[in-house]
Amino acid sequence: MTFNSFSFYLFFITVVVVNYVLPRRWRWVWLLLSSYVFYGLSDIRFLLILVLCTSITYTAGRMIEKSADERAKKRWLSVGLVSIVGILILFKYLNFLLEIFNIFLASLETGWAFRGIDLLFPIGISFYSFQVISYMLDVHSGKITAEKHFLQYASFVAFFPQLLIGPIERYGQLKPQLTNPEPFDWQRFVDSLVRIGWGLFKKFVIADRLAIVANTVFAMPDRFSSPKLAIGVLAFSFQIYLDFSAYCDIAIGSARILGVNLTENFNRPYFAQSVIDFWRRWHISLSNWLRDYVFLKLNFKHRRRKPRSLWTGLDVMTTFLVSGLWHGANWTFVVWGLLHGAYQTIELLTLKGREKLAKRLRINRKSAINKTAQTLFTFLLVSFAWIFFKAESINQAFMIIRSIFTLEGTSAADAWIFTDSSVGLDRLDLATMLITLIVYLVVEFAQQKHNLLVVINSRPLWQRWIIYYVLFFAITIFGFYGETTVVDFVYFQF
Amino acid sequence: MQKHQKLKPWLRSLLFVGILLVLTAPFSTIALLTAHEKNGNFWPYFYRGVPKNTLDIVYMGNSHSKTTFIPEVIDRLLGINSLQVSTVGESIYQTQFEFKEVLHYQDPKLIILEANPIYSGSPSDEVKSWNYSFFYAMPFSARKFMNAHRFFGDDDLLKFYLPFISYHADWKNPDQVRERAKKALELLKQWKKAEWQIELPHKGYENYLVSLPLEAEQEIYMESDNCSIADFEKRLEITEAMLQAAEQDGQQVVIMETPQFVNPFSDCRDQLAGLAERYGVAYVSLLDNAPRPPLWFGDDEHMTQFGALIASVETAQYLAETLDISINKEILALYQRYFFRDYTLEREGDRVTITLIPEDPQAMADMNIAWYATHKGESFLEEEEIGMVSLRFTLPETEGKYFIRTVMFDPAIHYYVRGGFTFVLNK
Repeated sequence: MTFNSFSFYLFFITVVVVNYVLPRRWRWVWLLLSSYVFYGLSDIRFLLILVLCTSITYTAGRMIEKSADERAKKRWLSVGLVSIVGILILFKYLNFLLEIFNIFLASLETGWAFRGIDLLFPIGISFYSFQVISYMLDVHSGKITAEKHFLQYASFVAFFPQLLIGPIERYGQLKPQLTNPEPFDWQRFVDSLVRIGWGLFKKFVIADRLAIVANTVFAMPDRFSSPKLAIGVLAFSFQIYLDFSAYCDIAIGSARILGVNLTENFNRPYFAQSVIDFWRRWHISLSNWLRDYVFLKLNFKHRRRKPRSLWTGLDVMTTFLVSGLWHGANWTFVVWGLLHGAYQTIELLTLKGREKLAKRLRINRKSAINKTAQTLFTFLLVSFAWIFFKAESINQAFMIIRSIFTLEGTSAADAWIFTDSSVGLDRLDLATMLITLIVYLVVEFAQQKHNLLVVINSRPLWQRWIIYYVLFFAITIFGFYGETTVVDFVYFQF
Repeated sequence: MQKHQKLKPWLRSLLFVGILLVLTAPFSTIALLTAHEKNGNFWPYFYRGVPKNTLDIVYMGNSHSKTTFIPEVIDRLLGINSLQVSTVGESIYQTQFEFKEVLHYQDPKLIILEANPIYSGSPSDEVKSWNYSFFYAMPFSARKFMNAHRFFGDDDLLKFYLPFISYHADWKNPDQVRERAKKALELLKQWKKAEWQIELPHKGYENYLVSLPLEAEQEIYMESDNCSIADFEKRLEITEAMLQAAEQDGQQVVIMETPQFVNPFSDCRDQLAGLAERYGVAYVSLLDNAPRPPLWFGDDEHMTQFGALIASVETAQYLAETLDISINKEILALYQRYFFRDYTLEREGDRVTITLIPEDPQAMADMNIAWYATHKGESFLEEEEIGMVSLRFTLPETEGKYFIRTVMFDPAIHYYVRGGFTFVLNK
């Protein structure tokens, strides 16, 4: 049961109705139960792993707090971390590690090789494992007190709107809201529905069409010319953003309906003017997690080492190596992560130099032209990195890059994708995709200056309703679902 | 004042939803009228055209049943009211739900359960939403909601709650919207003409118009020693559940193999026969020892009307005996008088003669017979004459596909039979 399935909404209506029928002090119990049902419907075995992670980290948190000395605290923290990371490695990275080990064995010419193990992959484990790790680390650092109530702690771990693909929440932020949610508010309810509708529009109408183009091109890149490969890459750039942000819209909207505010996970990332800025706007909950629990820890450890900037760069690279690995057990994700690490390290190291150069050349860095150029350049850098993210292998990624930059098989006609269905969509669907993407970008642009929800709410009732009806029909008529291709949320695979 | 202000958001929401329903209603109506047409056309009639507890006999099965039992013929012979509730391609996995609906809304004296769905049709995990076409015509009720969640996967549940999104991919195409709207309007006009009475042509019987070519090879079925139907155990369980339900309801059931079904699964058949025996249910092979002329069959799944007439008369006689009701001997004699044994097709150069071979050549002397011939879809011949059992014509071309249609009718005795023959000439 996922956010793009109809059964989720039937389930959700039931959860909401019962939630507001119950007295406020019991709602967290209902949410816990609902979350477990939600997760268990995917696969009952997933619940065992969730309960295991919950139990381990709850116990670790309690013992960390109870321990008298720092050594004991560290010991309990280590037990908790090793257990959770161990579980994550087992389900997510075991085959990858075996592959590396087999390469090592092959280099020694031992003739030995370990076979991969076909293990169940519990969806959401990458997200909730980071969530519980942050809990243990925060208890250890004294930022929060350990939760005494096991079931209340479990409700924090399992809260269903964010369980599968985030946002990755912090205990101090989420748990108080679960045990003391906001009372029902009509305006909030309507705004949340609009948010969910907007998410469904992004997912069904735009992202799933972009997915067809991206998947078609990446499935057989050798069949496409440079312009179409480039279009495929751009399609993926927008697809992954729209897909993931759509999920977050639905998650945040659903949580808001239940009286809980989740962390915003995106802030118009493709309007970023540098890759550093991009990571302040993209998957914010993960970026913040990596910043707080990887980068800052490393950077603090290396604070006395010189040269400072180089060590900071190294810490950035390490952080983004972790980010890459978090996304998946494949060398392509490692390269993707390291590439982003490299981008940011170069940006950091050259920051002063670039400022000096701009001053010398009298370039107004705050001008619209300069900002636009920076935005476009950042977008191209990020899109370039997405090639590794999407490609099946490093070789395929390099093949695509080579084809794009050597303009293989190119003619002006090749770029005109409307003349054929070679990218997987017919003319009507391609036109729909482009028009709705433009609409979306206009909305994104407008959101920089105005909160569009506030603007909509300031309009007369009849105008608001027209907007809601248009959104509803746009999703139901132009959406990709049912008999047409159904595409899972991209971040489910992580 | 406070109470009024508190109600306002609720009222606004209701109004919003109400307007939304009004906006989606035309699309929903069009979708409900034009979607699920495959297999689905008799169910609106079942729910809205047939008053409750007025059916005497119900025929259940797939297209084997649909092209074999002619309710109008059986009704005339026995003075009863019967109905086809068979759907094309049905397997027992669907039949069980339709069976429940039949028992819920009707109290038939007897249910003929045509056997083919027990042996064929999609296995349970392949049954599609349109297989439950009865569902869409079902009156609104709690039963309908509960069953929706039982039958349907996610996508079909969405269509159930929001009918207008059926074929939603078409709605963005203006041509498709025009087509569907046109089709829906035509249907509505037909209904209005019939004063909103749902009509079911020929009470669900479907005429498989074209007879087998004379040179068609009869498939030889190798009998297998073992029951090779993978999910036969499950199918038997479902059949047993149906027989139990019928027993509890006091309904009589007959399991019937239609003539076109030459059952190769002897071991499976034995198991089904055993089950039938345990429940005191007859297992009948219709026209078991009769010849199998090409005239009677359209292919190895369907009878033509020539064959269906004979099968229906045979069924009526069986029912008369089983239910101890009198058969109208005059009408019986009438039908038997106009049975056809076979046909011939002879060619001499560019002259072709098609001849129907009646059981009683004398009977044809007063029957109006019309012939229509087309070549590559274009009509080139129309003839009509009393007693014209034979058509002789000159081929306009010596190659291509020919289709010869024949219609026999006598309004005075309510007799109407249509048949067809094709042949292809190569250069």
